Amino acid sequence: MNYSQFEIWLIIALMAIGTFAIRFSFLGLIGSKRMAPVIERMLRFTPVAVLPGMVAPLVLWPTDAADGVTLLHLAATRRSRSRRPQREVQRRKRRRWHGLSDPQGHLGHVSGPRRFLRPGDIPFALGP
Amino acid sequence: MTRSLESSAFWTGVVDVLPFIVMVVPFATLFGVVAIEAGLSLSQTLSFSILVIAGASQFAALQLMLDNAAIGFILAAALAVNLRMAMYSAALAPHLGGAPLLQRAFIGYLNFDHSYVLAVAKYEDQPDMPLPSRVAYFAGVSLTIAPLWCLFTYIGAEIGTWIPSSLEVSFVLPLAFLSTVAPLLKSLAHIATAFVSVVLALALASLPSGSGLLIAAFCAMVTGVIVETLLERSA
Repeated sequence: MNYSQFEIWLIIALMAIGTFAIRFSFLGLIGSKRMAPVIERMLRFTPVAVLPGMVAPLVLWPTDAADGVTLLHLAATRRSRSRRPQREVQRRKRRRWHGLSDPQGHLGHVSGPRRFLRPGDIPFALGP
Repeated sequence: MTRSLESSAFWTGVVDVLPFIVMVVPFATLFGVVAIEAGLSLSQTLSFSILVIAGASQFAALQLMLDNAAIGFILAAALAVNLRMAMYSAALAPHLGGAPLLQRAFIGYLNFDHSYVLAVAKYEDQPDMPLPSRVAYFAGVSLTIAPLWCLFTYIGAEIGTWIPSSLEVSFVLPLAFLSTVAPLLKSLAHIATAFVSVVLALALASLPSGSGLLIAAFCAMVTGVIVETLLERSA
């Protein structure tokens, strides 16, 4: 991880603000005003529209979902087979980029990023 | 009288959310462990859980930080994971929109999966629940989860590298959510909604950062409205 302390705090602060803005959005903007009946009717379906879609991949591809958890054991670098080729390409690209910008190879000791979780892997509702 | 009503709504919320603690505790602990391993300080790790308080996006951000991604990309990906909460906000607005601004801000801060799922189910089940009781119920649910999330992030951070390898969080999750979804399937429209949600979520699973789920959920909602309207017309 190559971020200054300031950058890390900046990421945390901006994520906090952004996340709050998303969560507060409709509660804050709409307040007690009535919504259009169609919208309100649609929103009544949100739980049954979101949750099955959230669970289905976890039920059908449990190994994929478990990947995120197993990979949390930091030593492990196991990758799901289906995504490996794409990842290798990315990694090679990154190496090439390092090579170009860092002819002395000072960055070379960074032997590829440790991959233990991908954003798409994360089961949504484990925590808040 | 009303005070006791509110306090009973609060405690109902506390009781309803208890089963979810099984998932929150290990997940929070994992975040603590992983964040420290990744190189964050204790105060940064705790700030993540206290200020952002959105597990999936915290993990996403951490992963991208390990990849040394650009800050803009980290924010975009992590916030995309949280976009579904705009839907939660919209779903809660008809029920809680009448509350004072400060209470709504508080609800917004604590508007995460569990509080949304349980609260909306409760409000639909009891449409004549008075507003203060609704707020109290929401507070009961979220104020049980939120401190645990932060406490166990701290414990995880302290534990550092120690984590039992037999921990199978992924097993608990689908079971818990299936039991949440089953009672929601109360009409043909709801079943159609769930069906579209599942099919599209699987079909779009390769899209990044949970955007497939958002598309699937939106299409499923539209399906629900269409089916419900058609059924009402034919009845």
